[in-house]
Amino acid sequence: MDEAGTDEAQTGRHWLDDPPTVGAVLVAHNGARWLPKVLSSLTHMFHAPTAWQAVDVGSTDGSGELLADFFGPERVTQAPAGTGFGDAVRIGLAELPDTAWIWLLHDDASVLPGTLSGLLDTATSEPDIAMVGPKIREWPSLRRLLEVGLTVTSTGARETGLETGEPDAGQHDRPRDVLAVSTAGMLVRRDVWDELDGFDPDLPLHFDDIDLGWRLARAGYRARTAPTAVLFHAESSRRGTRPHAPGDRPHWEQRRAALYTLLANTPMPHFVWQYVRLFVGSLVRVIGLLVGKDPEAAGDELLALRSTYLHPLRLLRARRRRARTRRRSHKAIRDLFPPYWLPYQHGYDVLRDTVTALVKPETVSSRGRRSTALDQAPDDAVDLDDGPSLLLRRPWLVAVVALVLLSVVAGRGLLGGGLTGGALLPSPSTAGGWWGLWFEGHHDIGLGSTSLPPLFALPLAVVSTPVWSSPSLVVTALMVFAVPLAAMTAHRLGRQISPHRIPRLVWAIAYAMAVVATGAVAQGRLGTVVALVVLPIVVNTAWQLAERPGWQLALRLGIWLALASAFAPIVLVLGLAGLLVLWWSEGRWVSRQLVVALVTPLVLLGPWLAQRALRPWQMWWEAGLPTPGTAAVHDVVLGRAGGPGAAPGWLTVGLLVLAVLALVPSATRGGVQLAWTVALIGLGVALAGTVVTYSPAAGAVDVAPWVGVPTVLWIGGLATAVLLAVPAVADRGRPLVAAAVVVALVMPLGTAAWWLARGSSDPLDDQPREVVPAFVADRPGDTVVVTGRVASGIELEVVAGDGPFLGQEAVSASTREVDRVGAAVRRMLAQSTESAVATLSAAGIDAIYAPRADPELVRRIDATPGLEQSGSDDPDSRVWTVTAAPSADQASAPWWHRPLASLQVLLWLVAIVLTAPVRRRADPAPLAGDVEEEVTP
Amino acid sequence: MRILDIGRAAAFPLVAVLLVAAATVVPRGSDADESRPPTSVPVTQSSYACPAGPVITVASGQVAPGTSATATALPSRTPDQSLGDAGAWRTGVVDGQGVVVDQQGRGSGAVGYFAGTAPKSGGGGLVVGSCTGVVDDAWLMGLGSGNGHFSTLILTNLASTPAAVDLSLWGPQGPIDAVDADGIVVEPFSVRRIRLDSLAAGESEIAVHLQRRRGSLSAVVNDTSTATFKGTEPISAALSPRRTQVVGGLVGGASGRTLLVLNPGRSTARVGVEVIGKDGTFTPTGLEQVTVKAGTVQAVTVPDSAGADEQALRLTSDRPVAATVRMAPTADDYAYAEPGAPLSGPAVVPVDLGSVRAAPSLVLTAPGGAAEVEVQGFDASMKPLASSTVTIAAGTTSAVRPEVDGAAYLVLRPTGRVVAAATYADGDALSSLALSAAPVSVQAPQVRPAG
Repeated sequence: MDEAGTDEAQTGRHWLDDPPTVGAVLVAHNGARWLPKVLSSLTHMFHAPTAWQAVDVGSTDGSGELLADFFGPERVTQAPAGTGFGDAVRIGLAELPDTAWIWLLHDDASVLPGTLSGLLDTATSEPDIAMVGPKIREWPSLRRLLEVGLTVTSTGARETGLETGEPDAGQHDRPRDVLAVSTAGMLVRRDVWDELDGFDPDLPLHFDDIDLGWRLARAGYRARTAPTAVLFHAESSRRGTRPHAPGDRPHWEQRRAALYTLLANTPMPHFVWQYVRLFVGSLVRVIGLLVGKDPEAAGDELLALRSTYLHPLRLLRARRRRARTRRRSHKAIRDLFPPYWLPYQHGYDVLRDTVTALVKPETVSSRGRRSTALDQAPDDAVDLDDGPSLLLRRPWLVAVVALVLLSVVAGRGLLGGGLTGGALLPSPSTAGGWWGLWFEGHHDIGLGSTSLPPLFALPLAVVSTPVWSSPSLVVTALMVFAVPLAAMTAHRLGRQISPHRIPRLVWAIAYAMAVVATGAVAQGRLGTVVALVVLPIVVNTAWQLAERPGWQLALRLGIWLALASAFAPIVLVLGLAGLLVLWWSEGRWVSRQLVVALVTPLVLLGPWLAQRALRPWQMWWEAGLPTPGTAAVHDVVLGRAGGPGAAPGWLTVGLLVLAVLALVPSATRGGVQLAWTVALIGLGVALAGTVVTYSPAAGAVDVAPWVGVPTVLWIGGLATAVLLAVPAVADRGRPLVAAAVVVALVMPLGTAAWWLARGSSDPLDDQPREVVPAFVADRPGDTVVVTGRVASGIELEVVAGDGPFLGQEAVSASTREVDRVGAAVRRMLAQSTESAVATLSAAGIDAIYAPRADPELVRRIDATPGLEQSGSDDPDSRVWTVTAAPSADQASAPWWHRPLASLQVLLWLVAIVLTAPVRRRADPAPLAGDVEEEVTP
Repeated sequence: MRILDIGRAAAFPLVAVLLVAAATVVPRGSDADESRPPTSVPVTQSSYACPAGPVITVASGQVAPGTSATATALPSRTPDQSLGDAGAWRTGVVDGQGVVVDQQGRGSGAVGYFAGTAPKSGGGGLVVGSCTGVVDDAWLMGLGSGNGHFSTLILTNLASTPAAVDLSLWGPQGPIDAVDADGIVVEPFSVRRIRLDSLAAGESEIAVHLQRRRGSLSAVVNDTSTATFKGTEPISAALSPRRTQVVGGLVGGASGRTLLVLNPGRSTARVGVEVIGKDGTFTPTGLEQVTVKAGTVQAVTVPDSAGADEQALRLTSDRPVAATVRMAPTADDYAYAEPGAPLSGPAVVPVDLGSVRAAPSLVLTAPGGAAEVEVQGFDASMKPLASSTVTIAAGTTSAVRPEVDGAAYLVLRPTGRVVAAATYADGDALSSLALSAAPVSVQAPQVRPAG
């Protein structure tokens, strides 16, 4: 009321001298809930319409009676149910005398006393203004803005230009030209209305306002907002508060109306493009909506597309009608439309929401049901009390920041990028290398190969795509920040299993330290690092599954298992054992979910897994080179996997003692025993790894496995046992607790100190390592690297360019090719014949490199015709080049490899999409439907 | 109940201990560092080089027919048709300094020989030698560079890349500091002749150690003398220095036998010499112990007590030594009895040597247990002819003159350990050929993909 008063004071009401006639039409449909307030608001107006007419569209809730009481029966027209808003207005107008202006009202929109006068202020300010709309605010909140003018994007989205829930602070209070205004409170010139023939009957519900505004603009008139006029709109249909009635339009009508409006009004040369673009774009939207798990919207999109494109005549007629009233070029009204990039901005927002929903489903307040709902732990809640220090308020945040900083210090030798060394191979020069590894028909790994690529190349390719030109950043981040990453995933699990903040914080850090203590980072065991970062997520998901069984959680468990197994296949074995424990502990009622969780990784890992499983011990071969592990039994017991970079074993002794003691308190024994069971699985598998060997390729040397992953499972399980026993000890005597705390801190703090002192590097390094001398790598052909001695056996490796990148090591050359080259080298070393060299040349080889040359070997190669000695950078090494040009043709993969790879990617996509939360329309009313416009008022 | 619970809880650490105990007891997987010694593979291709010239006949043959053979005359690199048939015994006089024969075929066992009669100006005499393939490391004994005894080293490059050798020389007084003996380059597909007196003049007894630095190269020596022993003889590589060796193929005639021993080491070698004669093995008086100073070549006259029969000498030394025996039974020609390894497979003895019409006689020694040798003749088209079997008692040497009517070559197939040599005599002209197994198979290192 105040607003209206000031508005009035500020505005010169020149039109009051000769007030224009206004005929008001109120359309009602089951609006008895709002009508009393609406009608009473109509009684207090500074300037009232000249004539009134109410139209009741088949109301069954007494709206008709309310209207008759208020206006008198002669001013109320009954319309049959299902009459569109435009037709209802038309019916009302037929009863009204001819007035200069028409004012359209809904039954759920109340006005202020100055609303109409505010509209008239603007309406009469210029002669070419033919449509004016109020500032529409939300009813009942009264503060939030709903609409101040409308426009439409080139993809058919209704655009208000407002943020969702934007409060009205006067920021839109300048009148401006717009494409259209909402039908709620729309003031439109009667002569223009008649000229344009009102709303299009083909738009009974949606987009009638935008269509009318568009036609009006093309006819040379202006639509303008009148922010001084305020209207409160309950949007009853959108909120589902209006009872349904027969004759309501289906949901897809909105999208059809959008397509129809765009196609009917878009000017000619652009129309052809728009016609094709909307068709293709709609299909893309269907896919996007399916991926985003909004199947109902996808169905609507298809129905709308069918309805629009199957009736070209209707469209033609609509375009012809519009051509008759056209007076202005489209160019003249171009600034009424939003910028071209706006739809893409919206698309990006949707995509971002979808990805967020996938990664952190519990944080997204999706309108559909949630797939997971983790209880927010106390320390997760935002604590606004600024009394204690940050350390006390957010200890975990401080811990993570500290771990990140410590990682930078410990990773001082690794920050140069391009990590290599130990088991780690360099990254490809671009992310395209990994994509290529996945999709290319044959792999250029020296000898032709037709084997399937390793699955871990796929996640690496996806993650490194945003940093296309330096995929090594991904590997560097994983290796340098292995500790904070592992600690974060572990801490997330910790929130599930323990309510004690500080113990679980220490526990999470202890787990992260156990990862680095094995030497996994220093030895460049990327597979172990990734698997151990993912492992707590796997356990977490399994835990949730046990609490709330459901196929989506089971699927998610399977996906995480598959991801970890892609980097370290032994996780699959551990996972199988873990699922058995889950089944045993939870009983039969989760068995169906467990089957899903087990089958999912098998399907997702697909044929690559089959390749590994053919030689069972190859399950030990992780991402990277099959560098042998050297773990002895006592190493495993103390949580070490042997080799360089392992922390002193005694640091773990205290943890072993505490874990045994954790079994003593009977109150917590159940959980502790479960943790011990998991730990024993890790111990058993790790110990098995110390007694077997595997061969990475047919006929190649046997390799002792690296047992980092199960070893950390063993230590992690013990640490969890200790964590679970904390509640039982917390109330014991002080000395006992103090002693336990001291012992428990030895492992994380001691390992951290050792880690900082030693650093994360060596043998992992950020310096490029030459597999073959640079000048050999630059040659067109491949290089045979020959090691070993004639007397005790020769080993050879065929290298393309400057050596394989991460992922290529797992692609084995075809056995036939390996045998052929092996036989040729053997022949050459036996007889020094030129035919052996010719075989090498035919296999694409043009150099032989002996890094540590055995004199006998050198003598024999030297004697071979067709080879030329080349200089070498190291006195111990020798290089020979093949004088003949190498053959370039390589074996190509079977045709089905590429479809299979694509299918594999598709399976991953489908699996991930299936675990995303489903979006559903809020029941009972549609989410985005402006239903009130139809039957409203 | 409570006790039961505690018992169940205690089971967990117990299982851990049991797992550890089991893992400690279980035997570990195979050792990754096991040695993989070379194994035998059939030869598929072999190359050898022979010296050539207008007075030299080159003969090529094989144990089994090959698939193809090419002969290339050097340095012109023109193919020589006369030696190009891999399925026959063929002889020819090649126009050039040398010829390289390259033969394909699985287990063919291709061999080549050269023979001729030296002109009187160079000392005259009969020459029969074997063509050698690529040498890695050749010990050449009985050479000279003065006092009427001159040797020429003939180096043939068999391939299209340059080859290089280093030479080390020893004389009776010790190692000889030769000029330009290192890094001797032989251009691709060419023959280089090096007179030893261009490296170190004035030495009547020289031993040469040739080490191939790179490339593929064969080496043979033409040794001529107008000194106390007269004639011409080809010298091919002796066995590398070792502690035990058998010098086979000593022809009859007690006079003119000189044992040459090289001790390339750094301390004095004491060498015991035994004669493996017709009736058994014995130590001749005067040869109980030969002392060879470090880094010297020692020439020892084989005394009459060794007997005049065909025989072999077994040398046993406390240091590795290399040895050969020069035989000059007459004043007109001499020959070298070279040490040989026991035959490891069939050996080819040339009979048809073109212009040289000297039938071979075989000197077969069984240094260990009793042995047998099957001797079979073949005509030029590789058709088998008469065969006979020679039995050699343990520790004895047998001399046989096999039936060679119509034969182009003989194939010896030994059973047991046999050191064999063929000697050719044409009147007083004499030549000896240490026999070695034809290259039917070869030791190849084991190769596998790197892990």
